[in-house]
Amino acid sequence: MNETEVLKALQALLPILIISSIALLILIIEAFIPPEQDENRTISFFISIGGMIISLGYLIYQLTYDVGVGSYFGGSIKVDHFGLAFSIIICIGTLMVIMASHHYLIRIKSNLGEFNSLILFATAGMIMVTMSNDMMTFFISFEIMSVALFILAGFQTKYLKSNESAMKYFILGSFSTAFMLLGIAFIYGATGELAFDQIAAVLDKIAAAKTDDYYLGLFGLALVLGGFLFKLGAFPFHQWVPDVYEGAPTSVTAFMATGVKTAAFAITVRILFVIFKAEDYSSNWVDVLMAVSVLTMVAGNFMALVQTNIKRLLAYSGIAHTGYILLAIIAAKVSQGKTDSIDTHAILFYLLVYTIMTIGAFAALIGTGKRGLDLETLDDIKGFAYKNPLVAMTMAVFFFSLAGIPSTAGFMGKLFIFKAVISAKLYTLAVIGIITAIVSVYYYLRVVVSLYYIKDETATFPAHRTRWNYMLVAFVAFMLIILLGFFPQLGFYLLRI
Amino acid sequence: MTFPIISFILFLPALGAVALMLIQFGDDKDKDKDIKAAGIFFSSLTFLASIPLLILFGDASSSFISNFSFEEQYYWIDPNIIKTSYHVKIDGISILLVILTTFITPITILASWNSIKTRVKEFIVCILLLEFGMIGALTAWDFLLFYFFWEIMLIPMYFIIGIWGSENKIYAAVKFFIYTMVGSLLMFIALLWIYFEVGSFDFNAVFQHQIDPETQVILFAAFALSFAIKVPIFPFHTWLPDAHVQAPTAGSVILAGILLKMGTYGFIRFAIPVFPHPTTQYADVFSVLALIGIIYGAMMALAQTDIKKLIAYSSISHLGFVMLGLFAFQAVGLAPGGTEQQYQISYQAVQGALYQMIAHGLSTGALFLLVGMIYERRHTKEMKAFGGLAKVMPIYAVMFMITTLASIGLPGLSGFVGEFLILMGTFQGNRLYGVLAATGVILGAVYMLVLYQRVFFGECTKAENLSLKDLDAREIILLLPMVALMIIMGVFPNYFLDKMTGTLDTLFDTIPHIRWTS
Repeated sequence: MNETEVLKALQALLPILIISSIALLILIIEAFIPPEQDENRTISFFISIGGMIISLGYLIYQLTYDVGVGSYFGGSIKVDHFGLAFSIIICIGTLMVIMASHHYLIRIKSNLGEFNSLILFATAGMIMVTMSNDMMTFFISFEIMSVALFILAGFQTKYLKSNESAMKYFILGSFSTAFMLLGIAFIYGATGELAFDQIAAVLDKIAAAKTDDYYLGLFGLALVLGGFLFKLGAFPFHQWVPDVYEGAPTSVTAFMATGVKTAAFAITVRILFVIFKAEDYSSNWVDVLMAVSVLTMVAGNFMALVQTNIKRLLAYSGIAHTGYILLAIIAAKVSQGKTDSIDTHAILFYLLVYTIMTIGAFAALIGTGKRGLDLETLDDIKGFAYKNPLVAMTMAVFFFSLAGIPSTAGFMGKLFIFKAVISAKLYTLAVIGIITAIVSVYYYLRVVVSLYYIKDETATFPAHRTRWNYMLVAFVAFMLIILLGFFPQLGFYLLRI
Repeated sequence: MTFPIISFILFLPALGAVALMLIQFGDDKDKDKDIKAAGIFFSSLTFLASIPLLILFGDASSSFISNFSFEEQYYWIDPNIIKTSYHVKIDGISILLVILTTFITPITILASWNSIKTRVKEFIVCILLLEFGMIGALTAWDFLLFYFFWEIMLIPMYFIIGIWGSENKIYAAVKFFIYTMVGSLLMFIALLWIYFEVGSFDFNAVFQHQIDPETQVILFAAFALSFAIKVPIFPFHTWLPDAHVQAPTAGSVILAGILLKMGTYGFIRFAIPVFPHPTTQYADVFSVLALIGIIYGAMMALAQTDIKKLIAYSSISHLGFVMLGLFAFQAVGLAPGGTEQQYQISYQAVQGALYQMIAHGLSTGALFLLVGMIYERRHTKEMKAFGGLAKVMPIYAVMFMITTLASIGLPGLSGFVGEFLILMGTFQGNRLYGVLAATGVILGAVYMLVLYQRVFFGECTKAENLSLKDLDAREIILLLPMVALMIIMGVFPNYFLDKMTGTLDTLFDTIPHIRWTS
């Protein structure tokens, strides 16, 4: 590898470099700020916002003009349209999460600098996950992301539920990682390769010959898929989601619900479509995913019906949305045929919309609270619309969008998914998906009803002031949801689908 | 150069809503009035812009006609991903409904001048968005676009009932939402199915495509259920009285005036061109349900003591007439070579149904306005609380009388033309249906006149009623155009009927729908 190659690689991977160096920079700056000068810590906020905007802009530039597309470092990292589109979604999510966390962290008496730096590390890990092209790179970047999130889940150190959340996430996450690693070992055992392309070539031969190694590969597939389904919060590995989401600080929950999911979907799609593309393997994982997606949609939506805590409700709704995206993956595989190209438009568009509306909903939820008082249950937010109409209106729009009501982006997302599913002639899946979507309208509506609930016409509500940063996130998300709801084509342009 | 008039009147209310949301009105007392005035400005501008549409539509001799286009189509979503486009069109079926929408919206805002005191900005935004959704659904010439606007109507109405309604508003709003949502999601599934049958969402493509009869039945079931809930046809009507009673006046007026017509509009737009087979096969089912609606609605109206509830049930009865007209078949002679009798959907009845939709929108809208006015004064809608109002409020009594007579269908007023055409068409096809429907007309006269008598005639015994003020200038201004239009539509029906003929002719010529009886 000569100098120009290294330079080219650095140019292609600039976003990861920017994000991780800013994360380090923040840690260094933090060390020089005396503990009593809390207000000076906002500097880390502005640095991370700046860094994320630059990285996001650069990623969009890369995707639009094909800058730095290619393989680097001996093929272990591959920059392509697919990875860049997922990275853009991740960066949008991170930017919104950092924005929404600012005053919230002071409110819950957490450390701003470390938080931002951990979020940025996790983001760097996620972007690497979407671009990784061999098992080692993938695994390491997956762990960079996970370890940062284990810490973040327990970031509210004096709050018992947050500790519980971190502990649960850590133990279960470690288990899943261990199984995934075992799966990778099986695959390595079957093929003797670590790079995705080589593994795929060998697995194709093995699958045709049906040797013992074929079954070894099948074991590997099952274990790796299990690890992914855990991170995605899909049935039957979804039980940790509500507990962890409820306990973690709300902005971390927003980050887990969106960024982690996007990264996990990126690598799931890449591994399933690139490595296990042989007919004998794909028929297996398509069948498994069909069952998983149906059960995930049903479990998520029906469990959400009885929730009274909004964070738990959003956790179950997140599970349900995982089910919808899994549908899109199945549809993409079934309609793929013999070609190598993957029709990811439904997956990408849904993830983009899901990221925006979920973070928007969480940001609005943070905005309903104030120091020492976080509103979390449906009872807490009763009549909130009369205290702060603007926040309530954006929140209502996010929940309508999650429910998939037309004129919001959520509808367009569901439309493209169901259209793809029906194109692939998977009628049963489409019908189940639409029925569960009807069910979901009920519980999303409960939140809106709560917001506008008024028991006594004459009751007065104290006005609730909301910090500018929550408002900014909620407003930008609101605009994007409406804009993408009317002009979905903009999303396609952005992600270059 | 043609002016994109449809898009203009479609997006003007939306633009107004966005502008209202962004503009910060001062904190002074007149703030609310300014917001309402702005709302009236945007909706009146929309109405003014829509007048040339009415005048020029179907008037080929006009030299201005080349400056306006009644159809627009633009790129919307990448056709490689989904075959749809922004395609809007106005034809003889939708023209009058669009005008009705733009006509009623400013009136509803003016009607809310005093009654809406809380969260005025949001209210006006909701009304304008509702207008946007309604015009969109009426002009959409693409299934996806149609569904899109169909649902946009839902959310503002949900908020209008849920926030500005009376005591039991949350229950009514949620019931309204769930009912309509279930219907629309069924329609959504059917829409996707049609898309994969036809390969495009465009109406033109769908209308030209022949779907096989068995599939048609399933798809029609989904569509019909969705529209039946919206109309509402018996037995899907239970949300309507709740929604009407709880909704604020403006909400009731729009609900009765336009939203209910969306259901019948859906039937007339899709039933014949897309689902000819089930439409003819199950016409009797719909006719019977419509008859049950007519008589049941009228009986229920007779039993009500709450004025608003009475009018709500009268809507069910009147929309039964519209449905009866849309599914009226009449004999057109023997089948070639056979002994079977051929039936064809009645042209007159369909025309009458369209006319009745407009007439009902006007008269029931006006009735809700009138009820709203008396409610503002007395804060009750119970008939018992009134009596002898004719002496205290003479102008009010006159307005109420004209509206009542228009609603009953007195010759010379708007209600007569539609009911007459429908009854004529129905009678030719099936005497029994005609007779039963005619009893509905009689019952209609009974409950409306009983209402009128109890509220206005006799001695004014209640002390609270003696001091009631008659209508003020604002109220007269908002009622006058409606009353005037009722008379114009009653005296010169041909002007309005002519607007429909061109489209209805092609509808009947291109697709002869023959029902065979064995």
